[in-house]
Amino acid sequence: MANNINKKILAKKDMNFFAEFTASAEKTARMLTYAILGGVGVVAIIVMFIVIGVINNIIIKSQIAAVEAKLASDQYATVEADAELLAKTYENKNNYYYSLTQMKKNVDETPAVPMELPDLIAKNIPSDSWIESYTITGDTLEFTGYSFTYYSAVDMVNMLNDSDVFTSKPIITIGRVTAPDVGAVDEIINTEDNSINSINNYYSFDVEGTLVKSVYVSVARYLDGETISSLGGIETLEKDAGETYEIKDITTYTDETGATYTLSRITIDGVDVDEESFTNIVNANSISKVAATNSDINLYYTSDAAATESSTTQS
Amino acid sequence: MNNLTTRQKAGMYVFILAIIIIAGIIFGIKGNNTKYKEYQAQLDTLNQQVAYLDQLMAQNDTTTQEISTLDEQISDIELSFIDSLDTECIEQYVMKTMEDAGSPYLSSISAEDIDCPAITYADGTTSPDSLQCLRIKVIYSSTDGYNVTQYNTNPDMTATAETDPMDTLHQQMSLIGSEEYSTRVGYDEFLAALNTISKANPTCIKISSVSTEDTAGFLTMSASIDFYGTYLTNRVSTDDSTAAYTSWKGDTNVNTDSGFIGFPYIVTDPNSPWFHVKNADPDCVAYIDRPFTPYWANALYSKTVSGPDGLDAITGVTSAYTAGGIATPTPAATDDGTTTTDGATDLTDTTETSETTAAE
Repeated sequence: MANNINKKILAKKDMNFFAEFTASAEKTARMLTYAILGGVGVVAIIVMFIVIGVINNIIIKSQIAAVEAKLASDQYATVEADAELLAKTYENKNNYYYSLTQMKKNVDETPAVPMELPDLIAKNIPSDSWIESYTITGDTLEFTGYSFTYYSAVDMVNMLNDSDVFTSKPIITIGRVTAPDVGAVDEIINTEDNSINSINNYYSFDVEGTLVKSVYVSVARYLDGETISSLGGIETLEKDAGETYEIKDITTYTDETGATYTLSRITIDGVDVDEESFTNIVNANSISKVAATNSDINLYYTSDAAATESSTTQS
Repeated sequence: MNNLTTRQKAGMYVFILAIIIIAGIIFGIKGNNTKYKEYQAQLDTLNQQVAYLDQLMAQNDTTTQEISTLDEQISDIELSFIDSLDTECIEQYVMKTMEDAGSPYLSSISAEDIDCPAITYADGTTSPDSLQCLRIKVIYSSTDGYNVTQYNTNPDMTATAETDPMDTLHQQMSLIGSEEYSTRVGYDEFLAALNTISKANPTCIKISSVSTEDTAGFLTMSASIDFYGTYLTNRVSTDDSTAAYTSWKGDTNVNTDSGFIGFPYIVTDPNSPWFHVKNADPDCVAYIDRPFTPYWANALYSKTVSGPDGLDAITGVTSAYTAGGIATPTPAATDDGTTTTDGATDLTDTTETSETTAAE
C-alpha cells in the first residue's frame, strides 16, 4: 500500500517535472523564436538600409555622371584654356596699348614750331629795321637783321616778350656795320655816275632765345613685383610752362576688372621720391607740382589681392 | 544537425543572424555609406569645379569685354598715326599744298628717316612695334618782284609747247621789272601752306623748323616737316584713310612715251620736250676722254665746240627752239659747289640757276 502511494507520488512528481520541463521548453522555444524573428527583422532593416544605400549611391553616381558630362560638354571643356588664352591676349593687348601710348607720348613731347610766330615777328619789326633771316624750331627762335638805330633790336625783343615769346633771357647781339661791309666809298660823290653816298651808320643784330612752349607730364602706373607690368597706358598731360598741376586720386588704383591696388612707391624722372615726400603724397592722395620741364611720373602699386593672400598664408 | 538540441539550434541561428547583421552593417550599410561619402566628395568636387568654371566663364566674358574696350582705345591711337609713310605720297602732298597755296617756286625737297626712341614694355623688354618718323625738308623761293617767274613748265617754253616758245619769251621779256616790288609772292603763301599742313593732322604732322633768309632780293624759305607713322606687328584697326598724305593723289595716267635714259648728242624725238636740245655743256670745252672715239676726232670735236664758232655760237636760249637749232644745257651747281658733267641730268635746275644769276 505504501509502495502504491509512493509510486503514485513519484509518478505525479514525474508528471509535474515533465510538465514543468515542457512548459519551460515551450517558453524557451517561444523566446528563441522571438529572438530569431527579431534577428530576421534586424536583418531585414539592415537589408533595407543596404538597399537604400545602394539606391542613394546609384542616384549620386548618376548625379556625378551628369556633372561629369556637363564638364565634358563644349561649354565647359575649353573654359580654362579660353581663360588662359584670354588672360594672355589681355596681357599682350595691355602691353601693346602701353607701347602705343608710349609712342604717342614721344610724339606729343616733340615740340613743333608755333606757326603763329612768323606773323608775330612780321608785326613787331620796327620801321627802321629789316629781318635778313630767321629760324624757328620747336624750342628756339633766332633772327638776324639790320636797323638804323641800335635800339630797334631790343625794342623788337621787348615787343615779342609782351606776347610771351621767350621763356628766358634771349641773347641779343647788336653791332655797327663797318664801312667795308657795305661797300662804302671814299668820296661822298661818286664821280662815275654822280651818285651820292649818303648812307648812314646802321647796325646789324642777332637775337637768339628759347621759346615758351608747352610742358608735357606723363603719368604711368605699374604693378610692382619681381617683374614690373603696366596698369593701362601712359597718360600724357599738356601744361603751360610755370602752371601748377595736380594729379589726384593716386593712393589706390582700381582697374577695369575691379581689382584694387595700393600705391607703394613713386619715381619722378627716374628718381625715387623720398620717404617723407611719399608720406605727404599718400596723405594728400595727390601729387602737386609746377610744370617746368617735361616730366615722367611713374606710380608703382602692389596688388591688394596678392597682399591679402600673402598675409593669409603667413597667419 | 539533427543531433543538436533545439537550444543549440536556436543558438546557432542567433549566431548566424548575428554574423549576417554584423556583415550587413560592415559590408552593406557601412560600405554603402563609405561609398556614398566618396561619391558625395566627388560630387562636391565636381560641383566646385562647375562653380569655378562658371565663375571663370563669367570672368572670361568680363575679360572679353575688357579686350574689346582695349581694342577701341588701341584703334584710336593706331589711327592717330599714319599707317604707311609713303615718301612719294607725302612729298606729292607737300608740293601740291604749297602750289595750291600760291608758293610753287620749289628749290628742293628731300626726305630723311628720323630715328625714334625704341619702345619698351614696363618690364624693360623691347617692343617689336616702333614709331617711325619721315622728315620732309623743303626749300622754296619767293619771287623778287622784278624777274619773271617760271616753275615746272609754267609757262611752257619747251619744243612741245602749244604756244610758240619765242612768243612766250618775247611776252615775258616785256614783263621784266614791270611788277611792283611789293607784289613779290611766295613768303605769305609758304607760311599759309605750312599752316595748312600742320593743321591737317596735328597728332602726327609736326613742323619741326621754319627758316627764312634774304637772298639777293628774293627770300629763300625752308621748313622741316615731320610725319609720324608706326610699324605695328599686330595692328588692330584697319586704316582706310584717304588723306592726301596717306594715299596717292597725284597723276595716274602719266605719259611715258618719250622718256629716255642718257642724254644723246641731240634729242630727235619730236614728242620729247627736249626735242632738238643738244648735249653740249661747257665741259665739252675741255678734252673729255671718250673711249669710243679716236683721239683726233675727240680733239676736233672739243676744239669745234670751244672755238669761236663752237660753244659761243651755239649757246643761248634763242637758238634752242629754232628749226635745227641747238642749245646748251647749263651745268647745274651742286650743293658742294662743283658742277656736274652730265648736263642732261641737271637740266631741271637750269631755271633756278638762271634766275639766281639774273637776280644777282
